[in-house]
Amino acid sequence: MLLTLLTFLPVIGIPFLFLTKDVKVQRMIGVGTSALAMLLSFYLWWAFDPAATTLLGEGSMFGFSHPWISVGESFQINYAMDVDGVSLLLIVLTGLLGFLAAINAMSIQKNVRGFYAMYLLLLTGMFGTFVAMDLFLFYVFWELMLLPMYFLIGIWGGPKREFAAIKFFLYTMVGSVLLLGAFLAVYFQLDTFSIPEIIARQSEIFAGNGALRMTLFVALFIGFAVKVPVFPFHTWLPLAHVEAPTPISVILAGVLLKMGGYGMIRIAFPWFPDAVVEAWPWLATLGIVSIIYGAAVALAQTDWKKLVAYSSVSHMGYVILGLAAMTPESINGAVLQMFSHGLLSAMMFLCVGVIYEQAHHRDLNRFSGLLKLLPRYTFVAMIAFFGSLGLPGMSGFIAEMFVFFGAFKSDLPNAKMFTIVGTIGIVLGAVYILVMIQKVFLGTPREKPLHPYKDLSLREGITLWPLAVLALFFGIYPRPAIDLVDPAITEWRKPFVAEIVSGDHETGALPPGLIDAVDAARDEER
Amino acid sequence: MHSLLPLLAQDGGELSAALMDNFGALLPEMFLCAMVVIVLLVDLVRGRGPSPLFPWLTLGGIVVAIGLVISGSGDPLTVGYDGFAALQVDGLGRLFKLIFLITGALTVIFIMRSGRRYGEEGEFQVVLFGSLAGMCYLASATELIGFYVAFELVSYTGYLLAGYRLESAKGAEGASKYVIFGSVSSAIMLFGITLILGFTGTTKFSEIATALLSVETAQPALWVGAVFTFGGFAYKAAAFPFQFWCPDVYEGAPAPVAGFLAVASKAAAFSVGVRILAYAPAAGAAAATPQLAQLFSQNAAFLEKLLIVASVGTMTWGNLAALRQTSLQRMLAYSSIAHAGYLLMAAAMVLRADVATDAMTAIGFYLLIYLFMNLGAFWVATLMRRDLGTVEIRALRGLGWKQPVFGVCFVIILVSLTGLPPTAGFVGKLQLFAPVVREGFYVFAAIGLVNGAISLYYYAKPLREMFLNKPDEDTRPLRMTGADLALIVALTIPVLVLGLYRWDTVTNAVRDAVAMVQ
Repeated sequence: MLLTLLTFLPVIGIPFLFLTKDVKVQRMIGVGTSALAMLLSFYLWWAFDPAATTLLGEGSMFGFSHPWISVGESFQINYAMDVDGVSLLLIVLTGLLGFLAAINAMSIQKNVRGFYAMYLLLLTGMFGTFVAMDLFLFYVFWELMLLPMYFLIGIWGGPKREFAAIKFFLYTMVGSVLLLGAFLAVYFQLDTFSIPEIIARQSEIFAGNGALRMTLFVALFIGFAVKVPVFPFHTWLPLAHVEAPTPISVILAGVLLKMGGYGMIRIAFPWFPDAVVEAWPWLATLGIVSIIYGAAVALAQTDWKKLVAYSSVSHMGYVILGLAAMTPESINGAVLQMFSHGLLSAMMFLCVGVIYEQAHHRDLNRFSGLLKLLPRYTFVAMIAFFGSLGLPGMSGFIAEMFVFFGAFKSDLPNAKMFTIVGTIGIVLGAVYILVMIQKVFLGTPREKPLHPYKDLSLREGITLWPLAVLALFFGIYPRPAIDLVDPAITEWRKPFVAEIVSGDHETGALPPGLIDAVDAARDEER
Repeated sequence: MHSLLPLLAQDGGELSAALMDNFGALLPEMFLCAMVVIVLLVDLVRGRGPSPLFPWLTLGGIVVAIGLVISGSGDPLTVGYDGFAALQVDGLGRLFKLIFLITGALTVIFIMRSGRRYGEEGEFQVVLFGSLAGMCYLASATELIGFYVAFELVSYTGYLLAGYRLESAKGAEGASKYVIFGSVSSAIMLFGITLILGFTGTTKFSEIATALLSVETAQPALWVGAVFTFGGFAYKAAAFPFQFWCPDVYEGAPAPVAGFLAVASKAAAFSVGVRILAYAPAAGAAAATPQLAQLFSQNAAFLEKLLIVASVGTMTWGNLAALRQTSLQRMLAYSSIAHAGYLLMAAAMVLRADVATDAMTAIGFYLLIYLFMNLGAFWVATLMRRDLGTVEIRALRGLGWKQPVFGVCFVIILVSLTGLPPTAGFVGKLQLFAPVVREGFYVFAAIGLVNGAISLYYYAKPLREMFLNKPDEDTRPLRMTGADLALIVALTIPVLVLGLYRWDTVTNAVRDAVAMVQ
């Protein structure tokens, strides 16, 4: 019941938007509804017992499953929702960012009512995706996010918004149809849409047909990889991030990208543990290429927002590496990385937004000496950018270290080699962040802006400071998040452990061609 | 040949109603035929040409026919003479008859509100009733002779409707193409039927299914007959490789008529096609010897391949050709070809015993919702032609902001045509794909799914024009009255409701209906 309320709370706000013509009241309705959703998500965390790792059934805290649609022998669909530690952490992140982005969106002037209607619909889609435990329901919510996002980018975005919106729409739609195909294939093997039941009975899916299982896993992986996004499926992201208005960039980077990682944790990986272990060299390679390629391309950007966008590609690469390595530390690290990236990338986009609203450009080479002009702003921005760089004491550091430590001690073939190559990303990450900081914040103010820049306003402070405090808090004391996630991860890992112990897998190595390709790409971007 | 004799060698008077079995079950068809005469007589007696009376007369007639179809529901009834079954009145037929009649009624309403006067001419309504009567007969036909006569009735009335009022010079080209292509395909089909009749000695679908797929009679010429007959269907359903007439005709005809042809005419072809295919699994199961059963499965596999190739070709060609269109009506024409491809996907699966019911349910359900969403889109084209004088997608620029209710409805319709949740289009497509996946045709299903993704590109075009652009000085609003708006809202509601809420009730009703076929 609580999960239903959380999911549909945002859409309940939509009719109220149409009761009033007053733009201020409409903004209040949008912000107020997302605030309620945020409070509810906090309550769920507070009330949740992390030891409850069973999804749907005995020992599940909020879960339920009701028969919903039943067609002869062909479709049995349930209205089923539940959460475990992993999804709850992401729900809290969604609630928080949903509220902060709604506050940030108060500066939007163009068709406020339409904006908040689409925004609230998007929130429902996001909450629903995280709580759905039935594939049909999951897919409905998954797709429900597309249309509002298309409009939010396409109507309220920047100059190239139309192209960015349709590119986002088409890319994610291609990913979605791959998912749908795989879902149907699995459904007709097991005759159930229930996600926990499929996980429990995964060995029955095309039992003995390794090639077909691998094909289905690849379809699911690509379907989710488009959202993550993993190199080479990332090309929609820089465009969409750059063209989207600030609050939508925040949601895109903070929550939507996590959908891909969540889908892998909830669906793609546990359905085909054997395929995951077999595909490990490829998964690790994709993760590492994303880390290095994203960082290398970010280094070459002159558009501030594009730099932040490519840093997302790099950071989500850690998630893939961590998940594929299959040690408790690496998976905890991957989930923490999703959470931490949600906080930090949201902060970075908000920071860029603050300046963009005043300067109306984002050219890194035209800014300088913001430290002297805007000391308060610079302080918060430093927390965001150093956190993103992986400075110890910040949430990003914890997550990345977990991923690397975990991956390094993984028993999977060549894990140490992959991990060592992956650490190049840390260096590159430091380079692009530091170069950017030097250009933008240090030095003496060069260009005289038309209007003198205003330092952080109250509204901007309200959106930025909570994120900064949380990023610091989880950097110093990550226990609450780990306590929440770890029991679920322990339960989740069981089939993989069995697979790694039982299976005898050939020693895979990073294909030499790919290393060259990364180097070439990096040179080209320079 | 023996089974034909009772029908052919009649000495007139003896064919009385008393000798016909269950003649009363044909009441809807007879009523529609009577309406042809009634409208013609009214027109003649009045002798004053066009009048607003005629569309209302038609609407009334269609409503009565719908009532007759519904009131006639019950167990399947065989209609024929002296044990020779010419028709079977059952759930499948009734479902399709309702689809035709509702489409017909909406078409008349569209025409009334399209700002053109041709709907007020009695002749037009006569042709429409003839078309509906033919379609309704088709949906129940179980043997070739009656089927062919009804098929030709639908074809000829189709030519007349398409060419009745032309919106452009291109329309004339389209209409003549329709007649020429249509006549050729009819001739080919007739040749195919002759071959089948000659080799199997029967006109009954059920017996043909057995004969066609069994060892004694299977020979190349028979298969030529089958392929030729299939070609006739493919033409009517605008399926690859017989789809070339379709865009020109749909673009040249007035939007309401194009909508009628796109929905009802296509549904008519599927109604009888599905029925013919549905006999195959039973015939296979009844095979006497293992040898026969094996041969049957070989032959069925050949037919299945034929359908799969047609399906893949149809949807891919339709979608790729639609990508570049700038006219809404032409885009809808190409996209309707793509939808025929999705339907053929499930049609191929009707040959498989274990998913036959699922596949037929899927086709029935999809055509039912296709009615609402496609006619919704054609209604927009009608409005554009009336108020903006053009059906170019460009003309919709910024309209979503000026007329938000209209804009939102059209968005929902387009999203449904793309097949995205939470709309009925998604639920329908899910059901079309399910049997294909269940039977293990993964590549085939994948092609279908990718086609769905391609279609997003062109269905998003009106979306983009309506909402992503602000109205500029060229933007003219649609002069919509309350009734115009109510119509699009009424067409949108089923699309949304059947996607979100309890679509299983409708699906199960369709399922019960099609399960009566055997």
